[in-house]
Amino acid sequence: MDISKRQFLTGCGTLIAGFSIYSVAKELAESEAGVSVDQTQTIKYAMVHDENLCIGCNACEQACRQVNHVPDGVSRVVINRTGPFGEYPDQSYRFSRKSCQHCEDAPCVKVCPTGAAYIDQDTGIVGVNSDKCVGCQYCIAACPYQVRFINPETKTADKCDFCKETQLKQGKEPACVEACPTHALVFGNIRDPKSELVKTLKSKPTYRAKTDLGTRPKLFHVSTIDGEIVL
Amino acid sequence: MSRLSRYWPLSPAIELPSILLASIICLIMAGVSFPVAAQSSESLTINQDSCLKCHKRNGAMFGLHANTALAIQCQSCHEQSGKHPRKGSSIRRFSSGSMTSVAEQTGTCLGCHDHETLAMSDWTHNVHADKVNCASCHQLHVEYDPIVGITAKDRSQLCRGCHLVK
Repeated sequence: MDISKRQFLTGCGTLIAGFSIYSVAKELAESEAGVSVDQTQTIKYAMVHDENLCIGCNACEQACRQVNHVPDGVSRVVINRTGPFGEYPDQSYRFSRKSCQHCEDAPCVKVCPTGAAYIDQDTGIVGVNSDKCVGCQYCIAACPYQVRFINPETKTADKCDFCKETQLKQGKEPACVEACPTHALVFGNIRDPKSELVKTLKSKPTYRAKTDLGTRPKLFHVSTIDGEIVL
Repeated sequence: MSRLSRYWPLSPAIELPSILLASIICLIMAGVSFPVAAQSSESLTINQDSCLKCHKRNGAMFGLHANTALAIQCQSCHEQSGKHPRKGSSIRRFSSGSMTSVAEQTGTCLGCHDHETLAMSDWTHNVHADKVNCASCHQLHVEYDPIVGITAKDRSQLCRGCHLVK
């Protein structure tokens, strides 16, 4: 078999070009499919806060404080109140829940230098391992939702973990959900189509905060209909 | 020597400061007066009212609204007795189960209490406005309205009392 120099070089060039195109295309396809979403995960917890049902009683915050032993001065969940809107005596307020959004692409986890901030692979809950936390506060600076704080007792970063260590371990719903008198909070598995959470998401229009950052938060809000278009 | 210890009679040699301290304590004690508690409940003008001759079983009137200086009578809130007790009365009753309409109940309180001032003390006044009677949360016959100084937790539970969805 006689191969000329020209034929050899052409063959090698084609091979290199083909391989490089394949590798670039593969990389593009991977990035388009999204960052490693585990499709086999059977539990992915999320929460809905219905701002129409919320009455601003703060029972959620009180229950959370008691169950998770959150000291005074800091809180894992805050109900922000704006208003009043309208004229007396027909005034109204709007309530918005401020707590950990349990992002799928959590900036706090990315910046944590010690691995204390983590995403639980079984549940999708963003947690804090206080044994590993050195209190550097990178996560507090990185969180776009500003829900993290330093627990004055443990001196480590703290935030909502959907009561992973307390209520969920006992097979109960998070403390805030149990405490809510108006069922404004719905907690459940977003992967389970039969769950109340999925039913709520399918029946009510919801929004999530700062989705443009690509954090993929899992705290859904049902927007206050008062002063909005009615679907 | 710290600033405080100058007024503290640690040393018997310093006579003047010790006298000052004693006099200051006396002045403070005299200054702290309890306008309602200072008088016995029976001596309050409102409890001399003719209504109380029969209505003793309802208890006497204590609290801020009983202050003699305010000159509030039973009729100021509960309206004139009319033909009562010989015939049925149309007096205002302040409770959630009362025949008196909620608007009339709140209107009585709002006669003196400005809604803007109430809104400053608590935002819930704005939303309940004339839709929930004041007595659902407030008590003014007792010496101290229990809602004043309520803990955050008890306050949440109070909301739950009405807003609970079963």
